[in-house]
Amino acid sequence: MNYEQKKAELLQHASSLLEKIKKEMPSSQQLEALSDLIDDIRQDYYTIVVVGEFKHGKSTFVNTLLSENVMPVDVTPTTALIHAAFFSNTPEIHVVKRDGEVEIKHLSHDVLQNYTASYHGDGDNEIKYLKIFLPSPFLEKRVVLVDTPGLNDLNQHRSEITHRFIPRADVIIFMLDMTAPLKKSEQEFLEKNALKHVKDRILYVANFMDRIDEEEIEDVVDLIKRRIENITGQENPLVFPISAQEALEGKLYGNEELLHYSGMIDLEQQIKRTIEHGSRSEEKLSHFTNRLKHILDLICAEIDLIQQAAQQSLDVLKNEVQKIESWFGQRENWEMQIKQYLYEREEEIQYLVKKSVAAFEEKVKADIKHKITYFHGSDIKTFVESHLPSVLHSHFTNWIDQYSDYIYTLLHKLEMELSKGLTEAFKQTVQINVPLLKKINYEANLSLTAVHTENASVKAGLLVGGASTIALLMGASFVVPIIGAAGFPLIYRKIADKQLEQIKPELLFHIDQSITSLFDDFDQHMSGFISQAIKDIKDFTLEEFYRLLQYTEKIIQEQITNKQEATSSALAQQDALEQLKQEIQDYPYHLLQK
Amino acid sequence: MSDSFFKDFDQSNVSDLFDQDYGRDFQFPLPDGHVTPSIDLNTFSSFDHFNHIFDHHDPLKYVYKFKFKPFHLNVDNLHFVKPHYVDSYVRKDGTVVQGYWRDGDGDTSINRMTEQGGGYLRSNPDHTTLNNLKSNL
Repeated sequence: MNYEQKKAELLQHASSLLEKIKKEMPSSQQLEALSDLIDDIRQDYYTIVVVGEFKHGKSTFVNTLLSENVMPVDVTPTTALIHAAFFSNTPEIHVVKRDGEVEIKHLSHDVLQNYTASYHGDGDNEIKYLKIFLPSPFLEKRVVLVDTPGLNDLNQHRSEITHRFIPRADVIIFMLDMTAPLKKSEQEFLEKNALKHVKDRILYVANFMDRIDEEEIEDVVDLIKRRIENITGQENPLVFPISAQEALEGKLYGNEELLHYSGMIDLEQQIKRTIEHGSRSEEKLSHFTNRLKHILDLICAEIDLIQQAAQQSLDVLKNEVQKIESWFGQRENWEMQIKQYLYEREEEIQYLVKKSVAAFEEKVKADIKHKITYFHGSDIKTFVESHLPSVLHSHFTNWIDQYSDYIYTLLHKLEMELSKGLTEAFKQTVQINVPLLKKINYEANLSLTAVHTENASVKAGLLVGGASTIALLMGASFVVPIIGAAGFPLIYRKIADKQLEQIKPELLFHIDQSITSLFDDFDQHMSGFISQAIKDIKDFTLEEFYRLLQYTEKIIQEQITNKQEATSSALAQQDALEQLKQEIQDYPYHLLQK
Repeated sequence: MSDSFFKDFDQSNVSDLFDQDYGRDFQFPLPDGHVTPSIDLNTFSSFDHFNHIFDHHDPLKYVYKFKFKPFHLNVDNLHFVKPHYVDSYVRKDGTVVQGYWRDGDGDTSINRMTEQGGGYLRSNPDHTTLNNLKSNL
């Protein structure tokens, strides 16, 4: 089975269970979660992200995939915006701004060109991305094609691309120039941590095949493969030599031969294969299946609860209801205690993070100082303008990649501790064995760990992020100040007429200052992030717990009614539930997962 | 995949999902009503000292070993009363109350042990009857 078939199978199983659960357990707490999951499976879509340096023919390539000359080619400055193409029979452009406003225009080459040319990517502009709608067959089956600005442009989109788009892409197309493959900046990009887990989703496209001799093509492709192997450690990377220009002409003018020799047909087939069999689709499928299994576990626990309650005497049940009621009555009391507990734990977490950030700041400052002190080159402008910011940027990226794991570990431990405490307290007072409690406590803590891979899970709020959420803190408001820091322009003026050694102390002073303010900013972001995460943990745990109390009470009440009326349908219900449980447990979930 | 799979969903839906996934800004304004503790690295020293992690120069590296203080919910405004025998006694007005098994169900003809659901919750004495649990005893 390929991805689509497995997904359809999963969808069918989930939908059929939903109907049965609606019928047999109309008050189940899991109905909503199950229908949400079904929606998410149905709403799944595929993202193809095109990355690469300027002037590597990215826009021509995108036009070729879309079979339409829509993206502006050969404009200076080249595109510095993220473009996302969607299927629609009404061609339109949606300009999505940072403040949430969306401007809708008719799709035309001129309008797009206008945006591309007027946009300079200097950090202060307000466009988030452009959405292009057009009736391209390539986009028809829920495919979104994302064209990104050149990698060699250190602008505010860069961390969005690395941390937001790439990890979730089904296919990543890395555009290379066959005439100058794998320059240093490209190498640096491939070495990034964020790409480690998605290597097998990258298709390397070597453009400009038409610009080199035919007999050299094979050698160049080999050379590119070897370089990629060296950089990424990936065996036999997929490299496709193409001529985007010839492919586009072939498509636009119906020239089959030209299209055939352009290499584009093979590539398009590989894109399809990667969507259907790639690791991203496996990841999504495994995530969907785990979510389903978890929901069904809770449903089985609900069935256990009903079955247990059915066996108890009327008096026992009445007594249990009273105890649960008393828990509700105490709500204010235990919420207060939770708040107090979390405040103290937040103090600890904030302290740990602050201290580590301070250690990081020290390290960064020492490294930058070292770099400035031992700089003996002649091009100080490039050194200050591009080398140092790039060094800072990779310091931050690496730190976040590594430390966000630690921070999430802390948050996860906190969540477990809280839910364990609540569960124990509840068990002390309510004697009926509530199997759901165990599930909630030890298995239901999906919020921080398991939900983060799925597109639709963004709904769940901040708890989904992992490394990427924290990395995005460094987005627009954060990366840019490194470059445009207040002290720099002053220094540039002096660079022109002073000797390097004379400038160094001043340079050190200003850069030290701007790093300090950068860290102040970072500190504040982190602190806000932690507060938000802890508040989410509180809300989530309380909500789950409260729901559990309500549900347990309801089930017991239902059983009380059953017993009082001694209906024969109650017996039939028990049978149906037993059957449902069997069906859930017997399903071969492993077939859908690797 | 058959085309019928897609027909329920128009493509504009993909565009909305895309906005949901990629359009959100990650800003962290402090949550309403949430008080963020202010921490001064130089003066802060009130943590429990069983966790040496606080003393590390770069403490986050050691979080795998870290244990939070366990959360004990103190429900001591409530307590559980085990079922017990109440000896017979004479009320002020002279009526005699026979001894009975007090198990919280309000029915003295059925006697239950804790395992059978006997026992009940009572509010602790705190000099106010306003917050007391009602009972059917």
